[in-house]
Amino acid sequence: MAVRLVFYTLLFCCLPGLLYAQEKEQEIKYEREQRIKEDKVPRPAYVWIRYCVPSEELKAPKWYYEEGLETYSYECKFRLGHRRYSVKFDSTGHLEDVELLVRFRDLPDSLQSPVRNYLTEQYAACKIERVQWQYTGDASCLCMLFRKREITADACADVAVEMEVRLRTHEGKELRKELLFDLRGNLLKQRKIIEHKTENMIY
Amino acid sequence: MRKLWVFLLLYLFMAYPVLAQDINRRQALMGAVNLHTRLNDYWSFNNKWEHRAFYSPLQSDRQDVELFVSRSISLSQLLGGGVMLRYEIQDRQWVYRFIQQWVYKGKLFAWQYTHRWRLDQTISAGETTRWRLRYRWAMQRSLSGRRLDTGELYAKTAAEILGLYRNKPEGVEYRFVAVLGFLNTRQYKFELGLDWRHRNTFAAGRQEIIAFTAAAYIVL
Repeated sequence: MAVRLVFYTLLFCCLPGLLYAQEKEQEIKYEREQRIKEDKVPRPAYVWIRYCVPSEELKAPKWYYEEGLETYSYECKFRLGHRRYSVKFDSTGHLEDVELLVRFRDLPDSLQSPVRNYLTEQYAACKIERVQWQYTGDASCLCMLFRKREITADACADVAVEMEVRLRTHEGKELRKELLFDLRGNLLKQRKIIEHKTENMIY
Repeated sequence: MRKLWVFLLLYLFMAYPVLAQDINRRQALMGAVNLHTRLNDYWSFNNKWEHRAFYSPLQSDRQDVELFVSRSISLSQLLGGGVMLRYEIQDRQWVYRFIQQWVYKGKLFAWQYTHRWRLDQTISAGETTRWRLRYRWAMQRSLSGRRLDTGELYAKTAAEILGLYRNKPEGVEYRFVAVLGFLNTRQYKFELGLDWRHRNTFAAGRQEIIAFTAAAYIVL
């Protein structure tokens, strides 16, 4: 009985800490990118890009190997016209998402204002550094939409907005985060980005 | 690209030493260690030790120690001030410099950049104070991937223009730096490269110095 009591007491004390630690770990974004040649890319990923992106319009496709905390993936970055795309594949070469780089002011007003409200309420200062439309869904459907360049919210893809933001908390702490919002401006996910100091460019 | 590197190395090791016989063109070696620490969320402190030596003939030129404090005034701007103590080894004299600076830092795609405006006053024995107004634009990017991570190489380049004033306008100096860096861990960063300086003064004419630089940045 005493052993059981000690066990449950310890479990009760440690569990919140363990869960908190796990949550903290999930919050951190760690992606180490490494440029690779096209022949090192898994076949399905290569085929998807070659089939879905019109080759005559494809400008400077660059392949990257991305190492995360637990997984690895592949990413292809390229330009179509003036638009910069980034297509992410999992370790087996299956599509994860398509991202399109945009400016914050190009987002619809219905999305801009809730995002702005969220940032001003939660943080003392913010600077948006990077904004991307993120499309996730069935690979073949995304391919068709991609070919027609008609990726919209009401199509088969789930659309979200991914942002990299430099922030200052109300306590004065400066940090960088990756935030994911849905089309109504609700925060879906946030991850802290670990960055190195730029003192070598200042002194 | 490879031809360009070969040409550059040939120029530096063969052509430049010949040109450097001219007293107005000199080659140098520069080594620097930066110790950087964050005092709190807004303030940071930087301590820089720098040594410069000429070669052909090999002689130590100067030793600098710089103490610098910066305050973040927004997410992209810093204000700072500091003092530099320089010992000029050949002349055996101390030089003091007071520095004020404003920095704007930003990001453009994979590039990180800074605009730095600096004003400094140099005081040495028996001479009137020299004022310099400096503007430096620096850019850096990771050589693999969009973001710089530990264990990765990066390229950094900086261009600077300086206006010199002592009682009257003295001249202009241009500087260009190109280095290859390595981010070992979040605390250690190493750089190796070239630093080219061209000073055009009204009184002494032009002077050119090209230096091989090595620098270490340590975050405490």
